[in-house]
Amino acid sequence: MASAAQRRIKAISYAKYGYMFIAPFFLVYCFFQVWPLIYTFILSFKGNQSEHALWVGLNNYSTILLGQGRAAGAAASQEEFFRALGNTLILWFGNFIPQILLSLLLAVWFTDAKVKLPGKGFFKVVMYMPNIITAASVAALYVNLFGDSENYFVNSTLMKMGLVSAPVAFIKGPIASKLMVMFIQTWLWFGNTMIMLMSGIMGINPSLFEAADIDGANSRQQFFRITLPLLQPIMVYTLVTSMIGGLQMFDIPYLYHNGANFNKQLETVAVYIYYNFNQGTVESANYGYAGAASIVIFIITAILGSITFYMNRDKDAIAKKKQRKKAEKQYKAKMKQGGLTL
Amino acid sequence: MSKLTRTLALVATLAMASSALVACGGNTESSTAPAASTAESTAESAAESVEESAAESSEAPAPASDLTNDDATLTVVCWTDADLANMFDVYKDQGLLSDGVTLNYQNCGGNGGEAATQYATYLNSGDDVDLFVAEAGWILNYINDDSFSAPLSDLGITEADYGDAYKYTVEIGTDNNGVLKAASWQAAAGGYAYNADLAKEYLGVEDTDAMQAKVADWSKFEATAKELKDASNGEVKIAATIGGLWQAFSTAKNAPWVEGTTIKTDVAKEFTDMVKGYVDNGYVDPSIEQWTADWTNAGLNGKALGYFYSTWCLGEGAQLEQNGGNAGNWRIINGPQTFFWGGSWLCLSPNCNTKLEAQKFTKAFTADKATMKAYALYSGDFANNKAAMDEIVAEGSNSNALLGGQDQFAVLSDVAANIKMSDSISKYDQSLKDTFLTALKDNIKEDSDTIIDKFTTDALAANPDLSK
Repeated sequence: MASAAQRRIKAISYAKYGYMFIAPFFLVYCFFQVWPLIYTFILSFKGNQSEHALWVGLNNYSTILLGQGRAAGAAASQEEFFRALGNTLILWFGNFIPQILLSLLLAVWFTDAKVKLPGKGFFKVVMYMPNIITAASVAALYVNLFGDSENYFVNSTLMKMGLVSAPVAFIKGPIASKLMVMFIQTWLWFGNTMIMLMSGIMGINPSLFEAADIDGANSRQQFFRITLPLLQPIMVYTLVTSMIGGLQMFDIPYLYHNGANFNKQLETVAVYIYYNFNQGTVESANYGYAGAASIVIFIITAILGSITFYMNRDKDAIAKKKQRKKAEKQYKAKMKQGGLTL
Repeated sequence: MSKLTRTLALVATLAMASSALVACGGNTESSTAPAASTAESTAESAAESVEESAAESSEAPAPASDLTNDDATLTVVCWTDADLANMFDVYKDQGLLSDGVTLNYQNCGGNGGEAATQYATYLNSGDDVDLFVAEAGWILNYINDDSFSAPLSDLGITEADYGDAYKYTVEIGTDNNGVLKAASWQAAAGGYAYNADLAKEYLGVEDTDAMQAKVADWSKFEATAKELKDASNGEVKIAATIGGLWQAFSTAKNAPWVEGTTIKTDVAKEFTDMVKGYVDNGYVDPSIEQWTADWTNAGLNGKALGYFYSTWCLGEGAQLEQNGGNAGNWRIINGPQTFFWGGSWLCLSPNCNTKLEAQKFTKAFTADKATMKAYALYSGDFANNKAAMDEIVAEGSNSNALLGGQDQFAVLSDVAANIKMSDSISKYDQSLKDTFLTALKDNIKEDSDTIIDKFTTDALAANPDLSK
């Protein structure tokens, strides 16, 4: 028979302290993450401007996706949203492809034991540097260097060198401004991607490279046969994070302008959301469109993310799993048959 | 030991959880129940200030005759800090400031357009705000929403106080229900200011009358633009920006942007036709944005002959001075059309906790002749008081050093008297104007129908309330 004290000790549960310790995180998380997420869904079913309190069902979605809705300007809203979506994709592709190529090249050079680059550490730091500058400063820097008139450094230099006769519209020009944003994004992020890829390459077993060397593989073969296949998990990670970041691209496209208003030619979906949301009072803002666009971009991200994962899944493991299942089935069938013969 | 750990854990948990709750609560409360957040901000600022007396109660809305200062700071939210600094100077000089009260302005946004979008967040934040400044383009958004603005009658100010004010300022300050919610300290008459040295050099113009004759209407203005371009080899433009031209062109027409819920594009179309010619011929540089460093430099470096200004650009430290007026060689004339630009109103926040000072301040700058006269002379701004302005013009007591001693009030007083905008403004104006100018500048090489189409598309997308 256990004494009262023993019973009490048995009854003490330390779990509640655990709950206490994790409670702050969950409270903050619910208030600042879960609820806003749910609220975005709710907002996407409500009206805009003077109809902001009205439930409109799927109207916002049909407006921005199909151009049909309650507002007289539904078609215009659709046009605007798809222009923003197009800009987002163009800007993302335009910075992701050069960025990954450049990072891959540099990562391979920096990790190759045979290429003895002097000042590796210095270059790594310098190339990572842009990533730690805030986007606001970067935008301010580029706006002040690449202003559209001859008062700005790049245009005045180009004109003095006789390369152009009139100032180039680096900020207002529809194509030049997009190229500039792609360049800035690449410049900002290639250092980061490079570090990521380098860690991936350094994680590859060096004996593989040594073996390849001994077998007489040249560096191109080593790259395509060893480095690239074994780098796949890191590449997928980079692709997914870059894709999520790219679809939400906001800071540089929004800040890269001169004057009071953002540059319409660089309007990404995130800028579209912010613009519709941030119009002063509820009476003049379009919370519904902003909410619907957020959800659409959320769904697109989810789909693209799933596709990437599906395409890059470990095929060997899946094949093995299938084989095992098949074997199991065969065994079961056999047992069943055996059962019947008995 | 374990008790101590337990207590500490509990305290830490509660502290973090309550911070989360407070942050959330503050926002929702201030939009639904202004009284609660007043209490909060009163407590906050009282704790900050040295004054001890402010902390007690104060919640019941005081009758107009019995206003008190429950807080030691009168906070005016604005983007026009230069104006407010001048007003504070005059207020102190006139000995109006109550003992123990500090004046404070809080800038919110770099220009009127930014302020329009940032105010809602700021005014909901629960930070101290007693009065706020709103501009014609978007004031209707704020005075028609009781969570942002309170009637001026709470301060004992009524329309009867504004006998001498320019009538349109009172009409715009009245909300949809006929309640007076805002009062203006200025009548924003506009004029064309030009660099007299450049005018003499390239146009051979000696005085303001001759210059006015050269730009008396839009066709003469264009002819002068051509003359200037030819004489200066395209170095000097007649106006710095498309934005300035638009202001002069559009406000003079007094045509509404929105009729019912329909967007009107007639004036925009007319302007597009005109300005496309200007750009094609090199009379104006479309890459320069209003109120930017480029805009400032155009005048400073002698690249622009003149600017379209409102009265609030002409004071000390204001735009004229930054644009190169400090040499005293600039002059102001009416230009091709009499026009006006913006104009700002003082609105009362429902969270005002310095009501006595707010009343004194609002009355002094919007209704009191002596203070307004002093303010006009001090700042160069055109005060919203006919009697005061007439007196200044009659006395000839104003001379603006930036304009070589010229009295800008004499030039602009007729303009101010003729401003009509109350029947044409809508709460969509700021947004439509920005959208139009962006579409125009982005697509300046397209033909004018395409530009108007693009503008309409953008405008409709941003304003589902409206139709074509």
